[in-house]
Amino acid sequence: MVRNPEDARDLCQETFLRVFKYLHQYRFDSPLKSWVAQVAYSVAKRHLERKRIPMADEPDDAEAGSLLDSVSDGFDLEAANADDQINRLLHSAIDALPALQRSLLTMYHLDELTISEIASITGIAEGSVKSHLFRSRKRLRQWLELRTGVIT
Amino acid sequence: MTNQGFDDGEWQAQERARKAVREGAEPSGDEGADVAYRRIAQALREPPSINLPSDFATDVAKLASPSAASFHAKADPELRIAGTLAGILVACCVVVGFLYAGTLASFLVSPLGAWSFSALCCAAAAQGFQLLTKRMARDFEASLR
Repeated sequence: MVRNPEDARDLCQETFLRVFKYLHQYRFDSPLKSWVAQVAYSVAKRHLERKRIPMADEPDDAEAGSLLDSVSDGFDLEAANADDQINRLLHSAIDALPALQRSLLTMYHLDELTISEIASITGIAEGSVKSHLFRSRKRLRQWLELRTGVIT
Repeated sequence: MTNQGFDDGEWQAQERARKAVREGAEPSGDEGADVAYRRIAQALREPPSINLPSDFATDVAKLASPSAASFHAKADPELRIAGTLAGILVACCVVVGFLYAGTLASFLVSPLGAWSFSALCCAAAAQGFQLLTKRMARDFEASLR
């Protein structure tokens, strides 16, 4: 959720301290992993609000164009044929996504949480989580195609 | 947020790609639109580099220690109050004993008094034993940490 590594480290520390402090409030009604994720999410969310960093894009500008602006232009189409180059750029595109979309994708793909688990962690409705995931991946795909030509 | 623009077919393609990457399935070659999504799913499976310093855990533990100490400090007044109340109770018993020693002695020698006294002693012993085992369990847990 947080791009700045220094901030990420501080928030990680704050999350651990909060978990330690409030562990007695854990009621075993959800997996511990989800409870810790909920704490981490709320810590990061508050940090973004304090810094006035938007969590998500406005619904109508969520197209590949804005990603194109965010990711560096030093792109060599020929070199892009190499897998690692595309992967590197894809990671830049993922990093350029708004915090909310990035977090949802990470929770879904990397942490392998279900949509309902993500909904309970973030407090966002399941339908909206699904919609965010769909739009983010579609956006990445459009970006990829714009960058590397039509792949499919 | 609305589901405007949500395409179920495309969602299925995204999910197929995610599942294939998670299960480590080989690309079949006729995946069509899934190829791009597969590449995206692969990139999303790679964890971001976390450059936590080597002493991160030590630092967090140091910060957590004062919190633990303050937690025990909060618990201490409760113990002090409980101790004070127990002391007052014992003092009251002593005073009552002095005031009604004669009546109490004659009651204790009666069958009902002897039975009541034994029951009271058993209850006190059980309570004491419970407190002792709790204390021992807490000390044992603390020694494991």
